[in-house]
Amino acid sequence: MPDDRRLEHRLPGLEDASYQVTSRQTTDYNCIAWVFGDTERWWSPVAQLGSYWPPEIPRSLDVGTFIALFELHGFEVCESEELESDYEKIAIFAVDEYFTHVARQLLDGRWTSKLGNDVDIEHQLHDLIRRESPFPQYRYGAVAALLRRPRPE
Amino acid sequence: MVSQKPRLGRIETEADAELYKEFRHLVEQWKEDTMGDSIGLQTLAHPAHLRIVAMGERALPWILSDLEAGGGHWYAALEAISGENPVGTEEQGNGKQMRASWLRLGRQRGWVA
Repeated sequence: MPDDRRLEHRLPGLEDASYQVTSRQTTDYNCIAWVFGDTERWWSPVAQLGSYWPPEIPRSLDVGTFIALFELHGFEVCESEELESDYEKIAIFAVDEYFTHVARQLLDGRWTSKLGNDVDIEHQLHDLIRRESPFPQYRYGAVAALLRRPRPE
Repeated sequence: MVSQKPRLGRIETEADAELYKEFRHLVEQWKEDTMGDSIGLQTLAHPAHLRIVAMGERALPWILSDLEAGGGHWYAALEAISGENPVGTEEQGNGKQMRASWLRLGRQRGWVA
């Protein structure tokens, strides 16, 4: 199956959407690392995986823990996913209050996501979830929290 | 600790070939089914991953070979099978460094085929 068809099969919301694959497939980093522009580490509270996790943050999978993680890095909870040019925004996805994914907003209002062990893509925020994936690990649920921090000068 | 054995990793009999074929099949299944896993829980708990761990030291050279080729989250399996973990605190999460540490240990122990 060609790469774009493979991805659309996994994330059916991409089928008739405008999206771009922006990296090769790699296990070197995940969506959390990608929020921070870190392409060398896998961030996760799951210690057995050999992951990086800041010692200040508890190893838990609930959304509140991830909000605390991003607050530690200067983000604050906000209400809107609309582009505010002075702010960098992120969207946390969750199923039943448990973290599944995080995406980062780009300067043009689109979003960028590292999809687990898969590729990076640029996409519209809700294209990841507007149709349910047949693959459990691509079922990101719903946007559970939005956060923002001032863009660097 | 796993002892060094001359036959480790070599495919010399039909039984070896069958086991290696099963290993490759499990690896493909594991990677395919966990490609989108953002956190790693499904990766750790996937039945194919657990079956590879259950293969024990026979799988060590094959795992290290896959790791050297860029394969992903083998660290829990390597530690579970070997009882060792050469990864330092500063290396946690850094795939390139963790890979290098495990391959170095694998060469020292004779696990690299």
